[in-house]
Amino acid sequence: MENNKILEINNLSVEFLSDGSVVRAVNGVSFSLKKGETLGIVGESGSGKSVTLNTILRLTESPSAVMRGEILYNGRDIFRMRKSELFKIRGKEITMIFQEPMTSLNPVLKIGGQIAETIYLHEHVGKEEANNRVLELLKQVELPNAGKRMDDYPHQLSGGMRQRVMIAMALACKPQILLADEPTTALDVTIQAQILALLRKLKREYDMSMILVTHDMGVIAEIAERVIVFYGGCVAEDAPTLELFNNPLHPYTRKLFGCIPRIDTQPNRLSVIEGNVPDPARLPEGCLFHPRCDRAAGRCRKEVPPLSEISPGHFAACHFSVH
Amino acid sequence: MKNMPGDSAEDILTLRNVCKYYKDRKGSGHLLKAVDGVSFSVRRGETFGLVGESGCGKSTLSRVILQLEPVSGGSVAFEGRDFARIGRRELRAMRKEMQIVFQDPYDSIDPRMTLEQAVEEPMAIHRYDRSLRKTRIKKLFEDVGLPVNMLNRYPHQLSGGQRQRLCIARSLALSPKLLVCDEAVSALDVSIQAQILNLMCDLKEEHNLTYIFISHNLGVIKFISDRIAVMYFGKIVELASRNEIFTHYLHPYTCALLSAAPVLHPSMRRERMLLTGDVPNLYNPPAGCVFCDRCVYADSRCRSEAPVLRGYGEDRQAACHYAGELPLKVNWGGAPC
Repeated sequence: MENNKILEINNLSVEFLSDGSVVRAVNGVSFSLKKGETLGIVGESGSGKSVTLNTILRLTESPSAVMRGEILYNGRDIFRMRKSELFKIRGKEITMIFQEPMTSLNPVLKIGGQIAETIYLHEHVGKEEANNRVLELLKQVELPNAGKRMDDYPHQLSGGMRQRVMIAMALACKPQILLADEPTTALDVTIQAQILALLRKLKREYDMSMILVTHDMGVIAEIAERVIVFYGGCVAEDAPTLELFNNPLHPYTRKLFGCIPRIDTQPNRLSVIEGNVPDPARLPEGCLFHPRCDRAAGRCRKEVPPLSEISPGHFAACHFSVH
Repeated sequence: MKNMPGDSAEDILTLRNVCKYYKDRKGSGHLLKAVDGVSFSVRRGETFGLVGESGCGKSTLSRVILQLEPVSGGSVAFEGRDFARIGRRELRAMRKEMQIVFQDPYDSIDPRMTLEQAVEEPMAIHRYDRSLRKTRIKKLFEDVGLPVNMLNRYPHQLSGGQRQRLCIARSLALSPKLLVCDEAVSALDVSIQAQILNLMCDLKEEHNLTYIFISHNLGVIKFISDRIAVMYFGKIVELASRNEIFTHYLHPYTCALLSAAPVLHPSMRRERMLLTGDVPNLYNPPAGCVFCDRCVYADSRCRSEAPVLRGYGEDRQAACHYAGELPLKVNWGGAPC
C-alpha cells in the first residue's frame, strides 16, 4: 500500500540561524499523507507546525535556514527538485491558503485578475477562457454575486469573502494537495463554520488531499480524519481523529484537552499545563515535554523518546505510553 | 418595568440606552452606529460576559464604559454616579476604580519601561504613597504569579503569558473595583490561556473584583461568566444567566452562534443551521431588526419594526418579536449541554 501515500516526510529538520544562535524550529519530523485524506496538524505557537507546512513548498528557503530530511511528493524529493520543476508543482499541484487573507492578496489588483494570474502561470489559456474559469471558481467557493465581485478589490470584501477568494485561487489549477495554514483563525465562528463546510465540500469535489494546520482542537474535531500533535518541533502523537479524542496517549495531548474551556461542562477551574512552550533556541535535553510533565522520570530527562506505534495506527512519542 | 436596569445597591455599573455614533470620514453625513441603545447593569462581584462577532461593538462599548470615549447618547453610571454629571477631578478619581486588560500584551506595554516601572506608572500618576509602592509592586507580582526577581527586566524578555500577567498586575495596581477584560486571553495558546483564566478567577476573589469579560470564544465566556450578553451589530440581542443562554436561548442569533461553535468531539460532527451572508454593512443597517437579513424566521414585521430588549422572567431578556415562540434548536450532535 506504499503507493497510496501522496506525500511522505522523512526526518525533516529545519533550523534558522538568528543572532548567532540556532533556532531549531522542526526537529526530525516524519509523517505521511494518504491520497484523499484530510490530515490535521495541531500545536501551540512555536511548535513548528507552520514551518513544517511552509517547508513542503520550500517557502522557508533562505540563506539563514538549514533544512534536512526528505519530502517525497509522489515519490520525488521536493528538496532535490530544480527550481523549474518546483515551480510547476507550487501553486498548481500543491497549493496553499494562509491565515490572514488580507495580507495574502494584492490590494491593488482586482480579485478576478489575481485568480486568473494563477491560471495563466500554469496553463496556456486565452483571456476569455481564464475569465470563465475564474467565474466558475468563484461560484464554487460560494462567493455571493460572483459575476460582479470579480471586479472588486480585496478591501471591498469581508474577511470571510477574502478567504473564499484565497480558496478559489488555490483551487484554480485543480491541485492534488491543498495546504491550509490556520485558514479560519482570523474569522468569526459563524464564518469559520461556513469556511470549514466549504473546504469539506470542495475536498470531495476536487478529490484532493488536504493538510490543515490549526491550534484549535475544535477545528480538528470538525474536519480532520487523522491528527498529528506537534510539540517543540517534534511529533508527539499521530492517530486517527476519533482515536485521539477517545484515547489520547501522550501526556501533552491529554493535558491539552483539559485546558480547553468547553461549552458542555462547567468546571470551577481548568486543568493547566505549568510552564511554557519550549523556546526553540533553547530546547531541553531528552523528551521536550519533560519539564512540564507530571510523569517525567530520569529517563525522560536524558533520552528522546522515539515515535512508536502503541496500537495499530496510533503513534506516540513517550517512554511511558501504553494502550 | 421590572427588567430595566435600576440603581439598586448591588449594581456597580448601570448603562442606560448607551449609544456611540461615529461620523463617516468622507463627510457624507452618514452615522456609523457602533453601539446603539444598550442598557444593562453589572452587579457587584459578578463576571458579566459579553460575546459577539467582530464588528458588533463589544470593544467600543468597553471604551465607552471606561470613559475612554464619550457617549453619543444615553448614560453610564458607576456606583450611582453618572459620568456626564461629574467634574474632571472626580472623573480622574473614578478612573482608579475601573481598569482594562487588552487582548494583545505586546501592544499594551511600553517596551522601554522595566516591569517595575510599568506597574508603578499608574501609581505615580495617581500619587500613590511613594514609600508603599515597592511593597505593593512585590505583592502584585506574587498575586499574578510573576517571579519577583524579574522586576528589572524588560517586556521583550517575557513570554506571551507572562506579559499578560504583567498587564493584569498593572491594571490591579490601583485596587480597582471593576476590571474590563477585552479579549484578554484570546491571543494566548490554550495551555497558557487556561493558566490566565484560573488566575483571573483567583484574583477576583482576592481583590473583590467585578469583571466585564469580552470574548468571541464561547467556551471561555461560559467558563468565566455568571451572566452573558450576546451582542450583534451594536445591540444587545439577548442577556441571561450563563446556563440559560446555553440551554434556553430565545434569540435566533444566539442559536446560530451556538450552532456555529466547533464540535467538542469528532463523533459529534453534525448537520447544522449555518448562517448565510455576513454581518450587515455598518453604514447601511437594515430597517427593523438588525438580524432580519440573516434570520430564517424574519417576516414583514421584523423588516419594518425594530424589536426592543424585553424581559422574559427572572434574568432573561431578548430582543426579538417572536422570542419564546420560535422552534429554536441547536443541534449539539448528541452531547448533553
